[in-house]
Amino acid sequence: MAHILLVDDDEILRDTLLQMLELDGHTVSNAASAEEGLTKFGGGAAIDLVITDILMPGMDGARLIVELRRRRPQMPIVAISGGRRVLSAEFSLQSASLAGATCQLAKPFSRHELQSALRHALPGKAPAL
Amino acid sequence: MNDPNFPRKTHLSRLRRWVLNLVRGRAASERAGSAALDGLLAFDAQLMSQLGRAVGLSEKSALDVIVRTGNLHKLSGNLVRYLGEARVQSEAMQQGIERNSLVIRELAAFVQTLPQQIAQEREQLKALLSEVKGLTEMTDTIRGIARQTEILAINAAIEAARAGEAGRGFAVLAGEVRRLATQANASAEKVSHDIGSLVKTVESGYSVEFDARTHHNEAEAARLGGLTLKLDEGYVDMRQFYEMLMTAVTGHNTELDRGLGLLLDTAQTQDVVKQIVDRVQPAMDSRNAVLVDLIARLRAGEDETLEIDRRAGALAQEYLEQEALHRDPEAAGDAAPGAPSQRIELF
Repeated sequence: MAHILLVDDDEILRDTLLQMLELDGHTVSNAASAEEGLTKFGGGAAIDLVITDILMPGMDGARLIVELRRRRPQMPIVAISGGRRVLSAEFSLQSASLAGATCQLAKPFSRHELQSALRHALPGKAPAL
Repeated sequence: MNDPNFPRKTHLSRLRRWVLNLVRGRAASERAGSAALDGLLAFDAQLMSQLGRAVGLSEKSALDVIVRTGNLHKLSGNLVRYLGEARVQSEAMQQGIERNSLVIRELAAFVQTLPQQIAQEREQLKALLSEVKGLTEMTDTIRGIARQTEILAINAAIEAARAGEAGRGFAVLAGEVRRLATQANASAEKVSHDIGSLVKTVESGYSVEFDARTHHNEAEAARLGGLTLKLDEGYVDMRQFYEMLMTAVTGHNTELDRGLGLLLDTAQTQDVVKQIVDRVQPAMDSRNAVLVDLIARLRAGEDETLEIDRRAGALAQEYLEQEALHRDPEAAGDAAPGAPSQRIELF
């Protein structure tokens, strides 16, 4: 099981994902913004994987990914996005991919899809189905 | 060396057979030639080994070039796809900007009408008040004239009474004048009352029109306020779009830069291969010089070739020592930190 840092400005989605991840036995730290995510990432806790939304107020997820990559180049990062107004989920996730995300998930996604993404990003630490 | 059978472009083992044929039947010369040629063959094997290594490096670097070029191609493909999606996004935002520019124009047009509208209303109100004031002043004048006339009539009546019988006719006239003054006063009161009613009616009508206009303006302001909010959202989206675009393209370029660096590393390996091959040539020349000396001595019937043996051994030793000075590019990352590195010459 892994220690996962979850970054999303949407409180409802954050809580839902937190429950999904905890049901699978992961330890979850969560943050409501990229800035808070960076603070928690650098706070000394041994994070195994980061799940981050892309379209957030303030620092966006793509920049967060670049910063995380700079601090820890091998960190597995799963990007999630549902788009916003004219900004499509596809564009957001492609931006995340070019910024260095390990894999991407378009919102909304199922628990099964989340588990698959975690197995891809974190082989050996995510539970088998 | 004018022998037409001398195998100039063949392997040294064939040359060895040729030399032994040359001295066949001369046992001492055969032994001497064989020993010297064995030394040269060992050196030849070293050269072949280095050429084999160069070929291996060349093959590996060619494979690396294929893999790394493939990776660069994949990276550039990702960028092309991404920029395609960014173009779609950009066009969607362009439409948003055009809609927003309409909102801005509407907002500007609405705001521009307000001062004119306010000035026009103020002018209308001033004109109305001026007219009403004029009428009010006129009724005051009529009322004043009536009052003066009435006083005049009262004075005339007093004078008529004092005149007695002679003033009787004048008293009748004074009474008529007083009645007219009373009527004029009543008319002035009525006109004043009517003006008051008129002002109330105008005020009432004006107020209805004003209310309607105010309601319209409020609705328009609310609608434009909503559109302005969307304008702000569009700006936020656009800012985030360009930030993400810059982040993604910068990240991609960093990866591209790394890929190109690896490709350049591979190109450097090709240069190392060239250097290995280049160093073989003078070694071959030295080896051929020793060989020519050996053949000359054997032809001359000399059996003593110890000096040739020594030179052949020295050639191999010197070549290996020279090669050891040049770093193996494959072992470049294996050196312990702080350990003196071997020399690598590039380009």
